[in-house]
Amino acid sequence: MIELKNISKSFEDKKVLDNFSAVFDEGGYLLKGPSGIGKTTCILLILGLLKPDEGELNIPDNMRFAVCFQENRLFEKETALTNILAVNENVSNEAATQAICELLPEDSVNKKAGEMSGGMKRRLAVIRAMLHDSDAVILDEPFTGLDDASRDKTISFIRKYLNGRLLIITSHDERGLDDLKVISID
Amino acid sequence: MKTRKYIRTTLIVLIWLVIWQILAVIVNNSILLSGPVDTVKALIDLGTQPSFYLSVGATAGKVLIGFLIGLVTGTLLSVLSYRFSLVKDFLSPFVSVVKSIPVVSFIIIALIWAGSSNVTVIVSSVIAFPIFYKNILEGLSVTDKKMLDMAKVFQMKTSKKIRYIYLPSLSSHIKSAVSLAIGMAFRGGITAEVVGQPLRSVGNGLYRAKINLATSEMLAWTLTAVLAAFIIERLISFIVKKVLK
Repeated sequence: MIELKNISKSFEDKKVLDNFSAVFDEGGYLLKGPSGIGKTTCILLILGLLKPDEGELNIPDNMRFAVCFQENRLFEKETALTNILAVNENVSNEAATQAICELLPEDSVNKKAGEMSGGMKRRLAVIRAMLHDSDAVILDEPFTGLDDASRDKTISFIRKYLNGRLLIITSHDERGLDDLKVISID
Repeated sequence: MKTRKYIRTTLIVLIWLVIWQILAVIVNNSILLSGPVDTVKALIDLGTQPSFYLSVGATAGKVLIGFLIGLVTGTLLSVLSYRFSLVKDFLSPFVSVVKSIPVVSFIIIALIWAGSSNVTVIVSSVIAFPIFYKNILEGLSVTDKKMLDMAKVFQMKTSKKIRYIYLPSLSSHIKSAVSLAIGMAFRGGITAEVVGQPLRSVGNGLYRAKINLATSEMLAWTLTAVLAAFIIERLISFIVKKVLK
């Protein structure tokens, strides 16, 4: 269980999170709110990449995360396959190839991330996160730049590969995510 | 396009050789200025002596060893400085001093401490060390923090972080350090040999040519040093390029 208790976080003089509390227990969560409200900050706090100014953050010590960052953070000079395998030691070549082909065109397997379109990169970042051996999956705006068909396909892919893990998605668009528990930041 | 550039470069080199030859003819004194024709003749003469190859091999080998020592120590210490600010602060004055001390001072110190046979290796390594240290430390400090955060979340192995995050970030810094360090190590190493006079060395050949006032032979040794540095630099750059690919 992940618990954020009265968390506040500022950057320089701008307060991004103010006395925010939330509990992510099990199942899927949609972290919702307008742009710039602090969804990504909340994600980075959970991942331990930021420290809160105030409040309490309770996350089990041994909890392993998989994440799709808002900026993808892919190895631009490496192929889609290498991008998956570089961070997923336990995933076989075949499994990675199959997963890529489920969400991207077949010829993407050996295509360099830097040569892909924004939408393709986004899907590759989602594949990388979903294949990672973890206790929780965090997807920060995973549908940015995707058309409706790709978005639906990506949602199905996420559901298929979730395997009962805790899921936190940030998005300002709830379509297709009705079954997720909503936590609003405002 | 590449052929045109090649022809253009060749023509420029030829024009400079012609200017050099014309100046040599005008000066008309082979001690003051020896022309390219005499230099090539002297080089051919040197090439008939087995000791020439031994000298070039010994100098190149020693410079290469010094270069590698500088590369390894510079790399290791830059990594430690990147990880621990105390190491960085501790080494900072040392690196600044090493960078600013005249090469000839190092040569004299190396001669006193280690004798003439080791002076080339010591001076080459002392020249190469700060170049690698500074370049690699700078490359490490500009490594994308967001990618390192990603690696942390995904619990990437150190070997994979090096392969996929650090090396691409360091690539241009390593390449420029290699290119700069090998040239400077050669210059410093040969200067050390001219002062220290180790047997069978390019520096010793230069010195003997100088005391015999054999300007064409001195230029032939110089040309040899330039070519050796060029070939080794290209070879190492090729290896580095392959490794970083």
